[in-house]
This record gives sequence, C-alpha cells and structure tokens, in this order.
Amino acid sequence: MDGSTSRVFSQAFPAWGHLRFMRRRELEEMGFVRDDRLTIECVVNVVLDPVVTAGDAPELDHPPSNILGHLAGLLGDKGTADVTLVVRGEEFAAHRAVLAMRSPVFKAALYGPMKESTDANAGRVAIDGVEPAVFRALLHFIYTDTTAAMDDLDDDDDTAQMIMHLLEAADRYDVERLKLICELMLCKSIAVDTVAATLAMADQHHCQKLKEACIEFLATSKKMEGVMESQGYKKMKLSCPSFMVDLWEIIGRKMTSYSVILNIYARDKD
Amino acid sequence: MSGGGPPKKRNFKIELFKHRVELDPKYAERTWKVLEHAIHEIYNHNASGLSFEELYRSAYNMVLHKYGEKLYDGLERTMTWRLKEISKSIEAAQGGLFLEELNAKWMDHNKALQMIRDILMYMDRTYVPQSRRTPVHELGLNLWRDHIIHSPMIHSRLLDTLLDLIHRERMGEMINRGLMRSITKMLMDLGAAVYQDDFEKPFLDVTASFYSGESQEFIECCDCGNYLKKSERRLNEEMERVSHYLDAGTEAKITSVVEKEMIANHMHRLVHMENSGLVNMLVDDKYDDLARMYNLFRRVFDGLSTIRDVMTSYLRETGKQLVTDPERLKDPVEFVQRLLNEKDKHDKIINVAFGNDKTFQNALNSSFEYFINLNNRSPEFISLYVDDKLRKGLKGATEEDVEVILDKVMMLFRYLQEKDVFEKYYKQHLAKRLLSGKTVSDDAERSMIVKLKTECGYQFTSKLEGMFTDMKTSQDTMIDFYAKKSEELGDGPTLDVHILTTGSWPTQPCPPCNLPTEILAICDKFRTYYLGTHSGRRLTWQTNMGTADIKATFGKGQKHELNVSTYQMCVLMLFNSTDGLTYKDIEQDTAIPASDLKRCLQSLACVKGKNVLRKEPMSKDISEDDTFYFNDKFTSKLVKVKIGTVVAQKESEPEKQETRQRVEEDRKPQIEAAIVRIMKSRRVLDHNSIVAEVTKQLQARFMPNPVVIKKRIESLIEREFLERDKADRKLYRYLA
Repeated sequence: MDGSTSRVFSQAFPAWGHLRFMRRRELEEMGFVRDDRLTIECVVNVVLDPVVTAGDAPELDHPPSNILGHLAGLLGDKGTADVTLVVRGEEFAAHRAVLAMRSPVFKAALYGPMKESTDANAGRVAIDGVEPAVFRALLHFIYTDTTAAMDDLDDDDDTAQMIMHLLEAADRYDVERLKLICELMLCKSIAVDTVAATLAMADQHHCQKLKEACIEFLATSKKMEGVMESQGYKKMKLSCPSFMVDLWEIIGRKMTSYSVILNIYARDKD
Repeated sequence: MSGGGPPKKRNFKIELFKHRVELDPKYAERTWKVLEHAIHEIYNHNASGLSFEELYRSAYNMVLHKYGEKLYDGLERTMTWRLKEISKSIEAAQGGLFLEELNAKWMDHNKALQMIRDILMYMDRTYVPQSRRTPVHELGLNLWRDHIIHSPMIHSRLLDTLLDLIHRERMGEMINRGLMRSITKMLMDLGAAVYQDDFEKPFLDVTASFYSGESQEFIECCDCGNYLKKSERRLNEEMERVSHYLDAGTEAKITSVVEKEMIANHMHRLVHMENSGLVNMLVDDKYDDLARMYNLFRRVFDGLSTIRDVMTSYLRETGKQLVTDPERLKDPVEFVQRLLNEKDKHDKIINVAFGNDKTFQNALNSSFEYFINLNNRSPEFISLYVDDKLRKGLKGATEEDVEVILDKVMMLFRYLQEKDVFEKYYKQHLAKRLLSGKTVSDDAERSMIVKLKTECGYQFTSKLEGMFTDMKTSQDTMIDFYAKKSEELGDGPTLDVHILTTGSWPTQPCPPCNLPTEILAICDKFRTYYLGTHSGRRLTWQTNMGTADIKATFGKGQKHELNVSTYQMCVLMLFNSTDGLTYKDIEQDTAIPASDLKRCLQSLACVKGKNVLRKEPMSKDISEDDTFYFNDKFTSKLVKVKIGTVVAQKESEPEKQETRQRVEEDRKPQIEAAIVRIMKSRRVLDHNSIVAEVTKQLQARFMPNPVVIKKRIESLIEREFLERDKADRKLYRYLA
C-alpha cells in the first residue's frame, strides 16, 4: 500500500478502494499505527463549474432625458428643415420625418406617391382650412408635446376659441393626444353661453368625454333658458335636429324635476 | 367678446369658431366628383400629379358634414367598376401570360388601394366604425376577391393554371417560383378561407391522387429500400415546395397527404416485401435503409409499432431456433456467445438506425426474455460461459474489457426467469474454479460478485463471498500450521488444505476412501492441529476432490512428477508394493465408488501419452475383469505430467435431473415463506390473489408454478399456519 495516493472520481468511476480488508498484523507491521491510532488524511478537491453571480452595478446617477429639449430645438430651425408649410400666406419651416412621426396624415401626405412628397414646387405644401395661429400651436405641440403656446392668451374667451380650433386641427391631422388634451380643457370650461356650441362640436368631431360633460352640464344646471338663448343652440337645432331628440332623451333621464322638462319643452316649441 | 378690464395684449387674432353646417348637397356632389376623378387617376398611374392635402381635405369635409355615406358608397361603386374593367383585361390574357397579368394587376390594385386608403383616412377613422361598415383596405380586398378571383372566367382558369404548374414541377420542369409565391400570397391576403377553398383544398386532392398513382407504380417495380428512398425524396420535395411558394400552414397538410399515400397505404407490403423487407434489412445490417424506414414510418399512425411487431416476431423466431437447435446446444460457451452476438447486433441497429428508441429497446428485451427462457438449460449455460471466461477467456484483458464482457453477461442474466438455477450452477462452477486454482483474475471474480449483488441483493451472493473468505482463511491456516508444526512433520509429504465451510459450498456427498498410510499420518496431524484451535467443529476429508503431485521413477530410471487426482493417487500408491493388481483388488483396497474408480483408471491407463498404468486386455473401456500393471515403459517429453484433472463440463442427464430436483426442493420453503409473509399482513385473502402476490414477490428469482403454490398452501394448512374459510372454499385466513 502506498503512503499516499490520489484518485479522480467521476461519473464513470464513482468509487475506489480495495476489495479485501487488510490484516491487522500487516497494518501494525507497516508502522502507520501510532498510539493505537490510525490516522487517514483525505484531501478532497471538488471541481465545480465557476459560478458567476450578477452583481449589483453601482448606482450611477442617470442624467435626465433631454430628447424633448433637442426636439423642441428643431422647431422652426430653417437649417435642417426640409419642407415649408404655407398656411394662408404664412410660412412654417418643418421636418418631414418629425411631422410624419407625429401624424399619420402628414406621413401619408409627405411620404406617399403624390405631389407633396416630391420636391416639385420647391418643397412647399399648401395647407388650407386652418388659421396660421392655430397651425402654429399645432406645430408647437408636434415638436414639444405641450400646449404652452396658448399661455399667451389672457382672455378666456380667446383661449376657449383657440382650444376649439386646435381640437379641430388635431382631429383633422389625427394628433390624438392633442385632441384629448383639448377635450379635457374644454370639459373644464363649459359655460352657459358656449355649451351648445361645444356640444355640437363634440358631436361632429367624436369627442365622447366632452359630449358627456356637456350633457351633464345641461342636465344639472338651472340655466336652461340661458342655454336656449344662445346662438350655438339655435344653430344646433337647425343643423342636426335628430341629435336634438337624442339630446333631450338623455337629459330627460338625468333630470329630476318633471315640471322643468315640461317648461323647457314648452319654450322650445317656439 | 366680453368688455371691460384693461386692454389686453393680443399676439394674434383668432376667428370665432364656426360650427360649419353647410348643407349644400351640390357642394357635396362637387367634392365627390373631385375624389372620384382622383381614384381613376390613381388607377391610371397618375398619382404623382395629385395633391394629397387637397384630396384628404375634401374627404374630411364630406365626412364632417355628414356625407360619409355618400363618400363610402361612391368609393365602392367606383372601385367595383374599375375592377370589372381589370377583370376583362385579365381574361383576355393569352396562355402563359395569364398568371403574370393577374399578378401585375394585383400589384397595381394594392398600390392604388394604399393611396385611396390614405386619402380617405378620416372616413376610415370616424364614419366607418360608427356605421359598422367594412374599412377601406378590407373593402378593396373583398372587391378584388369578388370581382376578380371569383369571377367565373378567372376562377377556374386560375386554379387550373396553378395546379398545372405544380404538376409540371413534380414531373421535373422548372417553373417560375417567384410568380407562384406572389399569387399564393395574394390568396392568403384575401383571407385564409379564400386560400383554402380556392386553392389549398383542390391542391391537396390533386396531390393525393398524384401520389396514389405514383406510389402504386413505384411499389410494383422497386424493392423496399429504393421505394423508401423515393418516398423520402418526394416528401422533401413537397416540403421544399411549401417553403418556397406556398403558405406555411400548408406544410402539415401536404406532408400528411404524402405520408398517407406513399407510406401508410403500403406499410405492410413494404415491411413484408420478399428479399428486401424489414427482416432482410435486419439480417444484413442495412443501417441506412433501416434509419430511413424508421424516420418515414414514424410519421404515420402505427408506423413504428408495425416495425416493432415484425422485428419482435423475427427476433422471437430466430431466438427460438437458436436455443432449440440441438447442434448449438453441444457447446454451451459458443451458445452463449451466439446470444451475446445477436444482442450486440440488434443493440447496434437500435442505436444507429432507430435512434435508441426506448420502445424498441423494450421489444428487444422482451424478445430475448421470451426465448432465453424457452430452453431450461440457459441458466446453466450462462454460468458455463462465465466460467470459461474466468478460467481463460479473459486472460490478458484490460480492466475495462473485463467490465464490458461481464456487463454484457449480466444483461443476459437479467432475462433469466430461473435465477436460482443460475445461482446453483454458478456456485458449483465457482467452487471448482477456486479449488483448482484455475481463475484468471481475482479482481474479475470479485467484479462479477459485485454485479450479482447489485442485481439480486446480498442474499444471492453472501455464500459466494463466503467461498472466497474460506480460500483466504485456508491459506493463513496452512502458513500457521507449518510455522508451528514444522519440526514434527520432518520429511513427510507436504500438505495443502482448503477448509470449506459446509453451508457456503455446493454440497457433495462423499463416501470416504482409504488414503495411503503416508498421507493419513499427516492428515491426522493436521486434524489435531485444527481441532485444537477450533474446538467444536467437525472436519471431513473430501476425497473426491483435490490433487496430488507424485514423484515416479520408471523402467529406465526416468523420473517424472505426476499431477493426479486424490483417487488416482490412492490407486497409484498401491503399486509401490506390487506391480500388478486386478480391478477388484483396487476396488477393495481403495474403497473408491465404482463409477469414479472406472473414470480414474481410464485416465491412468487408456489415455495416450498419459498411460502410467498398463491394462490387460488393452480395450478402451474398463471392465471388472481387467488387470493393471505399472507401466515401466512410460515415456513423456515433459518432466511434469498432468493426468486428467476434473474440468467443469455440462452435466450428464442424471446430474442435470439431480440439480433440477434440488432447485425445486429449495423453492418450496421460499414459496412458503412468501405465503406466510403475505398472509400475515393481509390476514384474509382469496386463492387467486395469493398466487398473484407470491408470483410478484418471487419473480426476481424464479417464476413459481401455481400448482406448487397450491400444494404449499395445503401443507401450511396442515401445519396450522393457515385455515380455509368455512363459507368460501377459496378464501384463506392467517392463524396467528
């Protein structure tokens, strides 16, 4: 027997030893027994696959995102602009890719097979049916995702008008977030003399929340007479009579006072 | 606007928001006309002259002013008219250009549709969902489907053209795959139902009849291997076709058609084909063909089980012939080697060609188990095979080789149903090996024991291990004996004793014989010595075993050392005092039993080159009237002459009967123990259940015979371990 020996254990050879026991006499003769003790030292080396643990990366201070600032910087930048939008004579320099990114209508227009996508007409595209101020606000939103341009308006009426125009433009060019923001702003500022017009517009441009808010307003306010006096109401009666019927049905369900309905109906018959 | 307050600073002016309510229908009609014109321009490839902004705004205004329906209907009308024109031009296309024209017009329509959809985006977004009408793009596809694809003139022509092209490609022609791709993609775009009804279903039907015909043709003229090759090729071809110009969903359907027509319908004919079927492939180790068959048959229902069944019955048939062939049975070692070779052969087939499929492995195992047990001498033969290997077969083999061979033998061992018979024989053979010192490697022996222990448990091998222990202990005892008694023994013959513990070694009845005096002396001295250290034990000399080395001097003074058996030594020593003896004298003096004596004398007198005795008369057989003389004239080239040691042979008939009887006897107590164990835990059990349980418990060692079980039950009843139920004769109860 050797004094020391090393062996490799594996799946194929999991055990090692001797088939027979050793005679005590032999063992004692070899001199390994000291003080009636036999010491066997086993050194076991275990080979494992290295274990790699994902350590926590040290917390870095992420610099805040600044893409919005850069994008906003593009607004009106003539140096990089590749299209000029002409709105009732006023010119706006813009970038095809940015417009296409924010509005599917612009995308179809500027990258489709028709006139606007070519450089015919020196990259100028005529926009009709929108006021320049409104268009500016639209463009502002497209580049900055905010409606800050309207903060300049002090007059509430002006603001309301602007918002309505902007909502219409957003609906036309399918800039959905802007449309919703305008909708919410209008919801907050429903007034007796504007509710009818607002309601009509909400119906035309499919603004569900605004429609409901107006109806709610009508149903709960005690100023029905004021409403019916307004221009918007009269116009609405003319343009969409069927809508009127639906409207009164809905209001009727919400209203609590029967007599008020009769009263209003009677007056409406004029 | 409200008055009052400080003047406000205004950066711009906004118009009052006007709720536009222009009701003028003429305006609507004008606007529509603009759009209608645009649609036509688009179809005429003049889109670049149009202004998107204008058109979009026009459509937007129409919808805003509640003219969405007019716009939509107009669109539908215009497109329908357009498509009808297109349909005419496609129908007019001649021969081969038909498909190309269809494809070109389809591409045009798609481009146009895209532009139209863009212009009418507002309507698509607002009016269409509100009025629950079909969106523009989908409308465009539906109209194409209805007026082009489903137009009577085009519909059948399209299908026929496609099927014709595919058929030509199957017959080896090159076709325009890109065009095909485009057309099938068009069908998919129009809806999965269009693709399936207008193309896929008929395609699959045509394919089925094509392959039905082709498979019939092939099977008449090809052998199995070639047929499979062709099938595989066609299958791959169809899959490739799908990947190139059909929809991916078709792959599963087309492969199942091909599999059915070419494989499933002809499965049995292929497998049983004369001279080339499965059995021939197995016999000739045709790995490629077998692998191909496996891969193809795997795809069809019952394919693999068909192969498996044929293979199993072939194996069972071949195996049965092997084990019942009387020629083969003459050489047990060869017999077992043949079995191992068959196992190796089929293992390799399953490994290489059948992907190590477990079900095939199981079929192989069950077949082997079936036919190995058809011959009730199999346990004995396997033990003989191991005996041969451990005596000389493994000489010079490496440790790994030994392991490999023994593992293979263990595989055969596992198939045995009568493992207790094997145990009996193994013990006998091991005893002979140990006692004659004829084992080639101690480690190999030990390894075999370990394997048996792993397989069958400690009880199986405890006695075998006891035999090894005895051998070692005997060695030590002899060393001690000679150390202590050397002065006493002086010049006498040297003795080497193996002390065998009775329970561990195979029992041998041994009538004593008369040992020569010189031997007796030392034997007695040993007996005294042994019983001195181990009081309470009993020693019996086994004179039917053992060897002796005798120094003999012949006529011309040649000295030889003869290695003989104990019996032979007794006989030869008689000739120290006289030169000639009759048979009867020898029989009387030695007291050796007759059959053993005859065998012993035969090897001393009748074997050429080993005839140290001379017999009169000089016949081959020993008769009781013979006389024997010391052969002065004995010569041999060797100084040491070995005379007939007993070798383990396969048993003669009576010996075989005896062993089997002993095995049966041993089984009785095992069965009884099992019955008692079962009844003790179950208390009450019916006859059939007992038989089933007993079989389950004992089948690792042997298959108990139900008749024997019944007898044992009755014996236990007699000895009042069990009783029969008074009411139900088939029910038994345990008596505590």
